[in-house]
Amino acid sequence: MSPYAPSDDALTPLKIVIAGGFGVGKTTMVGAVSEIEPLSTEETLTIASAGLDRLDGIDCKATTTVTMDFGRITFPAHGLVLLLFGTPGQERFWFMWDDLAHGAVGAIVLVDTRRLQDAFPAVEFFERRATPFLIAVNHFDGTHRYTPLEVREALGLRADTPVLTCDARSRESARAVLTALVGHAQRLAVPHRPLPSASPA
Amino acid sequence: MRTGDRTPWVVEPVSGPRPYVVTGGRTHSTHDLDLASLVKASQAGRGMELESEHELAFRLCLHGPVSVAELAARMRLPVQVVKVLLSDLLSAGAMVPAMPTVTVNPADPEILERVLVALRTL
Repeated sequence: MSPYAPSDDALTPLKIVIAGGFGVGKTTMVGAVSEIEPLSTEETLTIASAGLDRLDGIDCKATTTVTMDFGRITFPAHGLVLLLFGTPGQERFWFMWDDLAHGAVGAIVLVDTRRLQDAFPAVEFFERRATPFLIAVNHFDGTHRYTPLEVREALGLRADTPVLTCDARSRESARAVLTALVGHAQRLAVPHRPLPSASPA
Repeated sequence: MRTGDRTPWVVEPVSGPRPYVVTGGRTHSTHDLDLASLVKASQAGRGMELESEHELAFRLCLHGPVSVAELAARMRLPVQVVKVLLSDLLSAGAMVPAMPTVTVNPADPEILERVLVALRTL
């Protein structure tokens, strides 16, 4: 236990994860709302032997480095700081970074409708962990705009998972997505309303 | 070795100078630190003589609460290495936690309401 009393400028930190496929606008969205230029936070992860099987039966492990975009929004008057983490695009190993999703308020899964399938791993990951998440369709100029219903069906989402459209470059749009996510997390958290059936972690 | 369901962190033996050199090879932090944990430099720490990486971490936290994630980014070190350095600084009293002592439940509707109110001011 810590022997220290909390300082008077103590803040409650809350994590929000921004996930999605490569080039979908995660870094852009972190940058749009963060009060600092997005930073790169790096972690070294140990990967178990999957895909590295050896015939001699020796336990095989490898390390890999995962780099996340980091940004923050401090609300001193409310005693809060939101910590924003953008997951790496082509990197599948961030799914093994427990520290990241553990205790997160929720996750934004950014989607480009030209590559909807890129969102599947993140959707599956947050559903399995029962982390509140929503889908934010990032509208790129000149792309075909699918309706939220079409996106919902294509991704096989649960009925209560919100699907929004956004412009990841816009601070106002990113703020609206954050607000929708926190509202969604709050609805899931309200007592007497059971979480959607999720398998235990 | 810490036991439990967390995968242990390992140090790769070769491939250049490893970041764990700055921790003397230690890979586990003695304090319960998370990516989002907030720390700040203490008054007592200002008079302490610190080694270079500890000194850098200390200086980055002079102006108020800083998260483990941000400190790792600014120090260009892996998160786990920064956790070890911070554990040293916390144990020495050079740094103090800068967050509520009670663990926050991120699914607490009251906390989430506070976030919604705060977001309206953005």
